[in-house]
Amino acid sequence: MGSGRLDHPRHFLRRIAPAVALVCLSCTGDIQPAATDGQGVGPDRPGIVPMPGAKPVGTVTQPGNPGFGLTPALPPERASSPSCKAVEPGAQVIRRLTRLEYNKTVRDLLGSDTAPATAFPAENVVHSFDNEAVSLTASPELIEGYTDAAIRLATEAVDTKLSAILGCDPATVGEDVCAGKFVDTFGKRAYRRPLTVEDRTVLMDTYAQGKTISGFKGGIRVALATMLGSVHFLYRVEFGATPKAGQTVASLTQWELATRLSYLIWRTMPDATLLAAAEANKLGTRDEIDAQASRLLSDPKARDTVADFHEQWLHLRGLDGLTKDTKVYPAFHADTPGLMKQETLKFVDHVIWESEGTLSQLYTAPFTFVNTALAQYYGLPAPVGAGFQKVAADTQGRAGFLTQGGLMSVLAQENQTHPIRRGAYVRKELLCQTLQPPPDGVMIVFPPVDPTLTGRERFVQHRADPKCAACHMLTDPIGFGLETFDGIGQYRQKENGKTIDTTGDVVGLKGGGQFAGAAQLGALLAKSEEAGDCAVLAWFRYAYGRDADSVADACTLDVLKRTFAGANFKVKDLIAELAKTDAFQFRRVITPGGAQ
Amino acid sequence: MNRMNRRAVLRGLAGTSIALPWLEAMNMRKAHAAPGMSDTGFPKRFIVWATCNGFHPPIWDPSGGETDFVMRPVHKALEPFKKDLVIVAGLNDAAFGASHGDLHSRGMCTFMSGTESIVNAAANGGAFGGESKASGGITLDQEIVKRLAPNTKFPSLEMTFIGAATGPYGTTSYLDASKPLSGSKDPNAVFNRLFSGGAGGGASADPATAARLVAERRSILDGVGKTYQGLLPKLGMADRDKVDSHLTQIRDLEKRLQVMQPAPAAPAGSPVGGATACLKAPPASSASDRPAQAAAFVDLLGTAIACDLTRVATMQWEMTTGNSVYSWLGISRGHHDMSHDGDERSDTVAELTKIHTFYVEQLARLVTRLKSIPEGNGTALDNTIILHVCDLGRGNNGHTGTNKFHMLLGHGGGALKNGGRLLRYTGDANNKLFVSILHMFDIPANTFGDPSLSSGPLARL
Repeated sequence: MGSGRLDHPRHFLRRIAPAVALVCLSCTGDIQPAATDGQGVGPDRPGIVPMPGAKPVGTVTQPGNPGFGLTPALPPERASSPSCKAVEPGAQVIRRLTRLEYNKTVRDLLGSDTAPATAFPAENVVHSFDNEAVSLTASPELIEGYTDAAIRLATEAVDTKLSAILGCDPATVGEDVCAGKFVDTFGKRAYRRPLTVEDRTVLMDTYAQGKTISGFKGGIRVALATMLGSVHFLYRVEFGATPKAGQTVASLTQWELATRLSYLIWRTMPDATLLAAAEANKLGTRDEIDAQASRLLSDPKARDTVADFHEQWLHLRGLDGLTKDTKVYPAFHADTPGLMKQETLKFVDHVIWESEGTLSQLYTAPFTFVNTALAQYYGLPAPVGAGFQKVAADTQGRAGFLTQGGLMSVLAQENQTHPIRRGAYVRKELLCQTLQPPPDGVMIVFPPVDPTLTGRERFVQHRADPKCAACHMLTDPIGFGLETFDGIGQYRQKENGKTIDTTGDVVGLKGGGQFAGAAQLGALLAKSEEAGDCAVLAWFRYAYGRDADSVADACTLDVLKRTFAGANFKVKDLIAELAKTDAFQFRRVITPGGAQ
Repeated sequence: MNRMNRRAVLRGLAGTSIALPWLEAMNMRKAHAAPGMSDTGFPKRFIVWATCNGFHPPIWDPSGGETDFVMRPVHKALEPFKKDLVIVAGLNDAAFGASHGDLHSRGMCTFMSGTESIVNAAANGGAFGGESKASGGITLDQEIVKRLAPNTKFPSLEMTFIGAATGPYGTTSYLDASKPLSGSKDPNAVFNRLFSGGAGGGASADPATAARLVAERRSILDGVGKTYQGLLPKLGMADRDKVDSHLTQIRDLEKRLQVMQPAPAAPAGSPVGGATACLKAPPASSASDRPAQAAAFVDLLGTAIACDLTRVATMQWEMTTGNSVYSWLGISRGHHDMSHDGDERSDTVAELTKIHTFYVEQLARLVTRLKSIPEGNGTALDNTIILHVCDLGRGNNGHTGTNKFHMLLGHGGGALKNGGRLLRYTGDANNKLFVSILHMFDIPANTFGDPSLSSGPLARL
């Protein structure tokens, strides 16, 4: 993979987009096209994708636009501009704990494995991830859920481990003194920083009210539940270290850094070691931060984070409750999706933590993980040993996650494959390219299952009709290359008696996109600059809970890409690097009420 | 409590001897009904009944004229309720036309807000650049909640039958721009929420214990609220908006807790109907038994209305692009995939008819339930408006925001007196229908959604 130059979309657009745009325009048939200025596509033309308000109703995008073709992944105009020299962390929005983070945090804070957040309303999914800060909004149902969970957790803690969480004996030191000590010590862990006078006043007031209502235990219960519903627990509140006059960017406080590190790598609160480091001012240098990041990465909790990332990025949640037409696919059982999900998660875990750990290996590994049932399902050799074991899968032309049954099943229809969906997935998720939807009024008709045709033949209209070909050349030829995996991820060489032609093309891929068979597709993507850059962007989004959409973010991405490439695309190194960027270690100084 | 409502009636009935005076007191309100209350003093309710993946005109469009129309077989289950039904055909989702990106999320983000959708920043060029990612404004149901601010245990109730996704493809209801209310997908969770939990508190058989728990809960919410309040002045604009929205909802929950009695201990197996209509056993359904689950959602909705736990609800049946296989109807293809077939595919039309017949049967079940709840001389249906709405106009042969099909059921507390009508329009903005519905709830408004798209109510309605 290349070093991740930011300006590559220019090249791409110059080469590809004009053709796409011109031919796609005719695809609109009787729809009135918008006026054009005939200047073609270039890096200096704004509106590479339709801007709000730029597109009149019932017309298609302008020819200066790739139409429903590709758009670049990154703002092209800034490469290594001088602005990258200054520290610019980018705009950061306050982050609320996701359900996953809430469950892990109360596990670590209270020792409760009740996972109460599972009942909270689901997060919005943006760019395939459920933790985009802007989209984590509050609803009445969520507030009710928070309140219920806080009271349940507090009641459970007070009933079962009061003396342990109190840290003092009310009979000896007095109830109110002991309550004060509890608020200070437990509060520091719940808020992930020492309490302010203001925090303490609120919590001691609630304690006093609870004590009046239900006695000492009631006071503790009410104070604890208040902490668990508080903004300082549910959100990651940051102000940064006090800036010098005139500064617009501030470093984080030690406590804020500890919290960021912990949620980045573990998705939960800092452990005692990390809190102690913050307390002792031992997170002040890059070396100290690196050392803590390494420690966190070597803990099993980091593996859960990597699994969560891939579960979302590889659309494995689509396997939950996935059904297929059992008349067409009698081998597909209710437990098949769960097995396939385990397969990919075990594969990812092995690659990242026990093998080379590179993006390339994720794309190209000639092995997978199966148990006896899944081996039988795939027609692979039975594993030696119980449970899921590593087996060679290249005999079926399988290579890496892209060819595994789970993703192939999610990206298929219930009774046949879906080459377009597979191609679109590669474009959107693995290359971070935008596919514009077909224009209004275009009829989209899936070809019916035909017992005499292959998948490639079913979608022949997409090639035969130049109006369609211009757009579908971007997706279909990728999907055709995966046709040896049917709609439930089983391997086949023939379809309806005909040998499957697995040649394909990732049109526009730098260095050429032609391939024959899924393994070559994986290898092609593995060494492509686009896929390397896209993995960085996906991790950026997941790690920082936001999209990369500013000049500052482009600088951060540039650094991440160079480091990733320099580390031979080792994912663990990318995660460590995510803790080193300006976006991670700094924040903009807050102007109360001002723009962020 | 400064307003009579159904809960007051139910409490009165439970006390037997004081039942009649309570009812009479309510009837006296007839001459000057408060906003959101019927002529006979009962609360008005609004239910959004949302289906997705577009509709298919050949199987939906009735034939005939305004009062002698003939319903299609797909609507057979509603035939007994024709007098309670107004079909509004031929409106356009004007905001759909003004929005961008994938047609599905565009429809879903505009169809209840009448406002241009929020799009992902085009400049970031991310995977969904330029695509609709949220409603650009409050949806009609939440506008009614906001304007009437009913003193019910829940401001509104959102439920979703099928559809994994939340966000732009899976949310009907929005509190405001980019503030989605995702629906609960588990009837048991809905039941637990209705009859115990955050908004009620103090579920205990012992009144003293219950009162103490409620008092504790109030102290907690008060303290929690202070942590948000204290932070607000220190935050930048975007964070302030986010934290303030959270705080507003804490305050709202506090208010609801104040007007609520301690929740009854979870009822079990109580008979349905009459004054005990609001007591209902937990739904016995599993995710694998979809028909039972659908029935459970409908029954919970009916119960929530009967108990006056909420007056506004959204029942969403699918997510847009939802490709669920309705196997219990003998269907083997996914809903979304079929919505892309052409009109000429008679096999697809037959399958889509099955899906929509199923939805309509659930709607008939709800109507039947509401009709079983006596309110004055009529029933709860008389005081309800159910809006049947679809994310798109056409599904098949192109996804459109034009020529949409809406149905209204119920009479909105006397605001929609004449049922049994088919009203055809030629491209009026759906915003007008929404203004008309606001009027049915005694909410003065000349526009809803983007005022540049249309103004005024829908003629003839």
